[in-house]
Amino acid sequence: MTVRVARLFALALLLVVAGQSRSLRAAQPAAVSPAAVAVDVTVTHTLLNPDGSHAGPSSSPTTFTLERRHASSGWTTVLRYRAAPDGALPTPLDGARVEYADGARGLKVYANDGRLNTRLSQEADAGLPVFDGAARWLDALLADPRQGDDRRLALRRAHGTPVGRVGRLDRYLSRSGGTVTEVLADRRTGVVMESSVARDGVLQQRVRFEYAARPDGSLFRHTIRTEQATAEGQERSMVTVAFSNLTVGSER
Amino acid sequence: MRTSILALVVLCLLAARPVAGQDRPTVFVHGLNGSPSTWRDTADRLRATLAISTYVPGVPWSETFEAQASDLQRQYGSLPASTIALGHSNGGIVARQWSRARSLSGVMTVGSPQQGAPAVDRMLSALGFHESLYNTAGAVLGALGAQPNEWWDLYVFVELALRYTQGASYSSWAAIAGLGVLSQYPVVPQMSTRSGFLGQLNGSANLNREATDVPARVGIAYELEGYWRMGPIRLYDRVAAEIWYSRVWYAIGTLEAAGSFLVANYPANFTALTMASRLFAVANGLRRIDPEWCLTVTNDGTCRTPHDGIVPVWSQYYPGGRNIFVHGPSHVQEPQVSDGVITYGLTTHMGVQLRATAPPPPPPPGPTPADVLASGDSLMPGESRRSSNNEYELVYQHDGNLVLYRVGDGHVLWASMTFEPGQVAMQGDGNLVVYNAGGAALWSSGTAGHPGAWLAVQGDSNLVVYDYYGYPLWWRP
Repeated sequence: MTVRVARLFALALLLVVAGQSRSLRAAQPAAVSPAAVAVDVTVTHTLLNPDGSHAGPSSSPTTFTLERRHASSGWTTVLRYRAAPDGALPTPLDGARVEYADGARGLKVYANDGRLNTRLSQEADAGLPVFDGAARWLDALLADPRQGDDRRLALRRAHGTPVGRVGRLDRYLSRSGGTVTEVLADRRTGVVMESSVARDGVLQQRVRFEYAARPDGSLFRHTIRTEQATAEGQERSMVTVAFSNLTVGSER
Repeated sequence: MRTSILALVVLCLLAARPVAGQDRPTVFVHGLNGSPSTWRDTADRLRATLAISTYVPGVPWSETFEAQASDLQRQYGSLPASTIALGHSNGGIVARQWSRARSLSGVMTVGSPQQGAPAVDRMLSALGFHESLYNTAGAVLGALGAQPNEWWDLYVFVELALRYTQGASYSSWAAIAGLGVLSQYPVVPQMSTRSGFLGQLNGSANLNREATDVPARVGIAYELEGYWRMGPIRLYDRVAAEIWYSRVWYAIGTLEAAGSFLVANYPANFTALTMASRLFAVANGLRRIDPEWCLTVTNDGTCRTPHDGIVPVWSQYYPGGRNIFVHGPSHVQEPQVSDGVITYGLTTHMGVQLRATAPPPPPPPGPTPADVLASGDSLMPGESRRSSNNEYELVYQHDGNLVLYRVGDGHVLWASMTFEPGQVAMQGDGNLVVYNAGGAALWSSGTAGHPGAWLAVQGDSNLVVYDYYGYPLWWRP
């Protein structure tokens, strides 16, 4: 993906973080922010042959709990890895937790006994970027359906008016040289269901989103499926990031 | 287990009577991609203590087992029937095959793939995996670092992790690349677990023949602890493997944290999600390095099969022979560090005698005392140890800090950060401890429970605590 296309998408899809310009830079504060959010994350990676069959042996999914907590010093993010299941190959990250704090540099990795693992941790080197996340990320993970107008407006700014419909989805298209970007968004809520990039007629990347409605009407984005051509171009890399057990703590 | 083996050796030394007769001819046969140098030093050491005359031939290791055995027969067919054939890896199979052509009083196999080597079946796919991971990391590096973009900060963050990824995958690939080239040689199909040759060699007819024709048959089977941790690299260098293992898990943690950061902070950003998935994919590839190696060398992918890094223990057992099980080195290191167990096998099961002037059994291999802090030794303030190449010096300073310096420019590579003078003790329990004058421990390597462990100031800038057998327990961060 070219930088230009990436920026177009960033403009289109950063529904609530339009003010940011760099990866680790803070987004604008949300109107309402939780003090603690936790969600279980399962990452699965598979390689597929051109005919759709699995390439190589399948690998076990990686699972951890992603927690974000807010305190007076700012936000801290924690990845808590699960203990190794019975029979699995033990690894140094079994039961470990990885922490980084907004406004700080480097990572800290704590072993399952709670001790800092200095081998796997990063020094707070000045050359590292400052982690500076924000609370508004939750708006996209847990979308408010009432903000459909804002989402549609952002999509039109990036891709123009929809060129058609696919079922209940609006279809947006934009071109840059030989690269065509397609976005399918729910017509009512404006949430993006699928984004794909094709270059010279060949699909390069595709991201699909799956949602579940919560009792309060919000849409929980529980699955992100990413498909990409590999460097060699023959196999496709499929990465699925599944979220579950989302809990949102008390408001700040 | 090795401790018990050494104890048995000592018992043998005490019990065996000095030799009175002629030295027993003993032919040391190397394995795949080997040469006479595989065995030469070991044979020399053993000849000094045992009543054996040693023969260390080269054999055409790429040819079929039959051809190698024929070559051995051509070279040493005239040796008497009291000859012992001792072979490492494929050399053990050659020795067994040789017994079909002539009388041998004993055959000893050392880490030999009696039932075949699963690695032969899967080596090419393992090569492909490591190369693919290398290329994938390169592609991610390229995508991140080609030019400044909105993820430039992320590039800085994960660059080291991705370089570690490339380094680890390349190093592991390089460690076994030579074996991939070997796949075209005639002997390789015979090493398969489905080999008809091995099936016939281990068939009842041949085993019955061996039982009659070869009075003493001994197999030595090795298990390398944690053989799967950076397996291809571990075959050649345990310390390097442990270092890469740490680097790989550092990379995994970093890449997954970065991916999670993107997913958590920019869940609606296509570019961020694409990048996150790439980082997750690379991390997943790293997570697969060890299981992939296990799958390659065991056929089961669980890493539970006892193994020496190339040959599973179940395949190393000599059918119909006496088998000795050893916790020890990797497959490629077996000929160099098996003096004790070979001595035990030769003296106990093959009737080889000790020389009248036999010196004590050789100590475990290790560096010269100038660059080690041996078990029980200590450093007082002002004392130091220097690497054998004089490039690195470990100094116990008068301020109580234990510091590793690069001699050339005085650059500090590591320090204990202790500032109360006392002493540094390489304790008999294996723990390296910095004490203050009051006897309080200020820092330790955390390696207690390994009696005989020692500290090495290495010429490659490493500072390593090894156990008695040379297994690295701790090294400087």
